[in-house]
Amino acid sequence: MDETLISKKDLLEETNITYGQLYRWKRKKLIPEDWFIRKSTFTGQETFFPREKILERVNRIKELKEDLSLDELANAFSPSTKDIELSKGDFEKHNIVSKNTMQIYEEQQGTLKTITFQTALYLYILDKALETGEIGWEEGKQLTQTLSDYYPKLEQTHASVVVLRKLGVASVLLVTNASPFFVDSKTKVAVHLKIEDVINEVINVFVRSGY
Amino acid sequence: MAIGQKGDLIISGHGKSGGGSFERVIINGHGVIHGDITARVVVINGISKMHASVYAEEMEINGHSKNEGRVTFRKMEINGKASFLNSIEGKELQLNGMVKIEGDCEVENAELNGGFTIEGLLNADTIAISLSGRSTVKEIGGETISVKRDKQSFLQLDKLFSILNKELTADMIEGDVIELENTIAKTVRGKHVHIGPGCQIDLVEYREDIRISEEADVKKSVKI
Repeated sequence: MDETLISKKDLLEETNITYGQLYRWKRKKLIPEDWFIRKSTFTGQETFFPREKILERVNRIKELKEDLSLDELANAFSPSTKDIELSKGDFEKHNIVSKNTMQIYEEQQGTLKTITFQTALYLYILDKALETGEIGWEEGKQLTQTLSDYYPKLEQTHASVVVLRKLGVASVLLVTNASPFFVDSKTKVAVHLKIEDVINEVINVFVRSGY
Repeated sequence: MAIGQKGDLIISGHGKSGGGSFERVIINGHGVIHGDITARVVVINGISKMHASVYAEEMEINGHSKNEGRVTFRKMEINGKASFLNSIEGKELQLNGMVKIEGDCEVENAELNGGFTIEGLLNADTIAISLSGRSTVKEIGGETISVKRDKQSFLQLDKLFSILNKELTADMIEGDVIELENTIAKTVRGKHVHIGPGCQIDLVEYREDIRISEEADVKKSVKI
């Protein structure tokens, strides 16, 4: 956790927002709970935020709030972006994931007609994992299976997908980010993706493509 | 799931229910509810114990209610006493009486008359507190925060018995417009801050202006 932090005071000054706005956004879950980091300072308790993340988020909220209501915004930032659904053709047109990824996914989960946000997320994770060159066709399927079986049960978004490899055998893990994990020296962490980051990327892609 | 008119759950006397989805939930007497409840209206006249979460558009507690799960509402009125072992979330909250919340309280408007204990954060756009009893809250955050004591008590008994003391204790209060009376706080941060009589504040950090009453005790105030 070596990210540079920004105090609440400095954040308000730098971004020119008020306490009221900050607390309202927190309430609407526009700012994730675990970005609020409490620390004791010589002036008492202070709240800090991961600097880059919060500045980006605040600026984005400020930009978007001109044409969206807060509740709509909350939808845009929350991972339950359930309303998004596009046809497979449209999805492919934007080259969001490679043809290979699509093929692996369909082989595992059956042919897709429409793509929901959830599916797009799985596809994107799979695509990123394949891109690393660390996992192959079969392991991709394993990954897809794990995601579709267990990710919906995970209520929080602050989770990671991890693929471990030992003696040529791969295991797929879905872990929450609450604590770090350690592996023995013979095991290799082939893939480690934070789902939250991927969600942001997918949202970005969708926004850029005009959805 | 059957689609159609939702029924009412009415307990008059002494009763138990497993929960469910209703149009109205009315408890007159003593009711215990074991499962989650979703309803348009929840009215409790008497005593209720909810073992799971409650989702209500309008909720009114006249009497005593203990809630173990999360409570979500659009509008809630508490006339009497209520305790929540979890966080509550909603739009409008009006309290006339006593409440204890072991989690956070996140609403848009909070009007609290009486005494309360909130172990987490009280977060609302507008918070209006009228103290008539000892109250504690860990943190308060919002846009407009005002804490006033209600009118002078009979024969000033509160000066004699500390248990009748009308004060609010808080670790931290942050807001844009803050007006405080009879508040004991470690840190107060705001844009426009008014510290009224009876306050004991360790540190005030203000952005634009500050007024401190002569009857208040502020150890340190800094403009930031």
